[in-house]
Amino acid sequence: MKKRYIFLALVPIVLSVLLALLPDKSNSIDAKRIAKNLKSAKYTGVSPDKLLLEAVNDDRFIQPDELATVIMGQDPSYMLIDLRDAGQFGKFTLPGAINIPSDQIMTEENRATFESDAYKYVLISNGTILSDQVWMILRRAGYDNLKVLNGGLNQFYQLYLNPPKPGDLDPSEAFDNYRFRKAVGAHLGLPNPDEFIPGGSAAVVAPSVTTETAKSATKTPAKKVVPVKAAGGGDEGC
Amino acid sequence: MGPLIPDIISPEWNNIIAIVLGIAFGYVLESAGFSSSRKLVGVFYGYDFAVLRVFFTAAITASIGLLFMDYFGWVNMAALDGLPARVYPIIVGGIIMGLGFVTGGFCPGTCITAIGIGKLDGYVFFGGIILGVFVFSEMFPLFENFYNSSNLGDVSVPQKFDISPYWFMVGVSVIAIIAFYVTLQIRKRIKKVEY
Amino acid sequence: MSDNKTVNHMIELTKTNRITFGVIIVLVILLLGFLFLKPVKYAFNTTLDKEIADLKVADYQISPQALAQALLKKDASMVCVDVRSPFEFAKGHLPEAQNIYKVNLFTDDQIEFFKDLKKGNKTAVLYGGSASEANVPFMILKQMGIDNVKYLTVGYEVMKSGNWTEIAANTTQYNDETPVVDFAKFISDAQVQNQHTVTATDNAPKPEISKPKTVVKPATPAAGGGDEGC
Repeated sequence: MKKRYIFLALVPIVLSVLLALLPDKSNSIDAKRIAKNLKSAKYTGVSPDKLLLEAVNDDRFIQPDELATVIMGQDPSYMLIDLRDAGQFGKFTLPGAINIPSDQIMTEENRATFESDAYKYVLISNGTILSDQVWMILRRAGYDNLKVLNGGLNQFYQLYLNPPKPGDLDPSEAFDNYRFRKAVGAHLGLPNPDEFIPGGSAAVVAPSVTTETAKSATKTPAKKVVPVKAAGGGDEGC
Repeated sequence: MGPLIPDIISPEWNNIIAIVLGIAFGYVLESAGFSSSRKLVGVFYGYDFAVLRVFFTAAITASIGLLFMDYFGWVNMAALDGLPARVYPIIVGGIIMGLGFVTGGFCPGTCITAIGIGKLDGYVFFGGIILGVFVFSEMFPLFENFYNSSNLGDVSVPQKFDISPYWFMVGVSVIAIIAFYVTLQIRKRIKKVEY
Repeated sequence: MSDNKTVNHMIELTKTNRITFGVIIVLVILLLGFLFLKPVKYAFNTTLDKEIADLKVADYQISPQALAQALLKKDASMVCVDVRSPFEFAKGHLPEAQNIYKVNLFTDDQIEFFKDLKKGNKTAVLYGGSASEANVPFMILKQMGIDNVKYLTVGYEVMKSGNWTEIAANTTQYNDETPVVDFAKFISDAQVQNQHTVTATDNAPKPEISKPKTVVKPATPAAGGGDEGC
C-alpha cells in the first residue's frame, strides 16, 4: 500500500474521532434544545445581551388606548392572548381574546399559535409584569412580533371604567379622549349615560340598547340600531 | 446559515456562488472520468469502482467539514433543512433509478457532463429524462398516496437512533475505508474491461 | 519497459499529490478555526419549562414591607441593586444600593458581581423606577441561571421616604397581578344600576357580557368580535 493512500485513508477517521472527543461548546441550553446533540460553538439565537437590548426600549408595549383602537376597529392583524387562568377568562375578557393560561404556554399546540407571521400577538394579563415575563420567555424561545399590554387589564379598566372627566379648562382633545373612552366602555358592556347625542330627540336611543347591541354573542331584536364598529368612533345613534 | 453566509457573504451572492459551484462540480466529475458510461457502470459489473469511491469520499468530506464548521460556529447546522424522509417511496425510487443507471449508463448529473463533451448518448439520455419527468407528473395522481406515505419527517440517522452524530461519522468513515479496501480486492480479481 | 513504469508511477504520483495538497489545505483551515474559536460568554442556562413554572413562584418577588423590615434589621444578606440610570441614582437611592444601569448589565463583567453575591449566600434585590423596570434585568439574570435575585414589586417612589417602620406597617397589598376590581361584577352592577335609572323602552333580556371565544385558533381571531347581534 502506498504511504500516501494510507495517510489519506486515515485523515477522515482521525478527524471524525477528533470531533467526537472535542469538548462541548454549546454552552447555551437553548442550543442543545434546538440542535439536539450537536456541539455548536455559536448559538445564533437570542442571546442574553440581545434580549436585554430589545427589552430596555419599550417598543413591545402597547398602550391601552392603542389597544382600544384595535378592538374597536376589529383589526384582524392583531391577536389578543389572555394569559390568565380559565376561570378569570370565563368571567370576563376583552372581545376577541383567546385564552392560553400562562403555565400552558409552552405546550406544542400553544406554541404553534405563535408561529404565524401574519399576526401581531398582544399578551394580556391583569397587570404588566406577568405578561412581560411571558414575553421575555417567548422571545427567548424565538417568537417574534409579540406585544405586551402596558398596565394590563387593570389599567385598561381604570381608563375605561371611570375615565377621568376633563375639567372645564382642559383642551378639547381631553374631551375627545374622554368620549372615546366612554364609547369603548360602552362597547365592552358599560352603560354610557354621558353619551354625546348631537341634539334632536329623534336621535335618542335608550342607553341600554347600545350596551346590548354591542355584545358579541347575543342576538338582539332587529329594530335595534346597529352600532357602526368603525375605528374609534364608538356608537353613534342613527 | 450562520455567520459565514449571511454575515460575511450576503445572500445576494447566492446565484453567483451557485454558478461557480456548478462549474466546479462539472470539472470534478469530468476529471474523475465520469463522462464515460463504461466507467460509470463499472460499479455494477465490478471492474471499476470509481463511482463508489468518489461519492463516498464526497459524503465523508462534506459531513465532517460541515460538523467542524458547525463546531466553530461558522454554520448553524440546526438551521439546515433536509428533505422529508419517506422510506418506502425512496426505496422504490432508488430501484427505478438503479435500473435506469445500468440500462442507460448515466445518472442525471453525469448525463449533462456527457453532453458537455458532446456524446450523442448523453443527449438521448437527457431526452429520456425529460420524457420520464413528463410521464411521472401526468401519472402523479395515481400514486400520490404512496408518494406521501411513511413520512418520518426531516430526521437524520443519528437523531433517529439517538446516537451522537460525531460517533456516527466515525463509523461511516471506518465503513468507507473498509469499502474502499474491499472494492480494491474485488477489482483485482475481475477480468479487466477495455474502455 | 522500466521507462513506462516510471512514467506511470509519475502520473500516479502527480494525481495523488493534488489530493494530498487539498487535504493539507483543509487541515490548515481547521487549525485556523480552532485558533479563532471564541467561547460564548453569556448564555441562557435554565430550561423554558422551569421558567414558566417559576412565573407563579412568589419567592422571587419582594414586597416593600419585607424590604423595609430587612432594611430595619440591617439584614446583610440582602443587597439592593438600583437598575436605573446613574442620573436617577444620584437623585436618590436606597441605602447601600449598588447602581447597575440595566443597559450596562453585560459590560464590565457586572455579572461577576452577582456571582460573588451568590458565593456569599446573599440575595440581590433589584429595584427601579417601577416594578416592570426591575423586571427586565431580573428575568434576564434569572434565565442565565443567577437565581439569587428578587425584584421589588413597587417602584422607588414608594420607598423614597426612607421611613422603614411606616412602610413596613403599611398593609396595602402591592401585587401587580390581582385584578383591581372584579370586572364582570362591575359591569353587570353598572348595567343593573343603569336600567333602574332609565326607563327602558324595550324588553330586551339581560345582555350577556362579552362571551369569550373559545375555539378560535389562528383562523379568525379578531373577526369573532361581533359578527352577530345585528
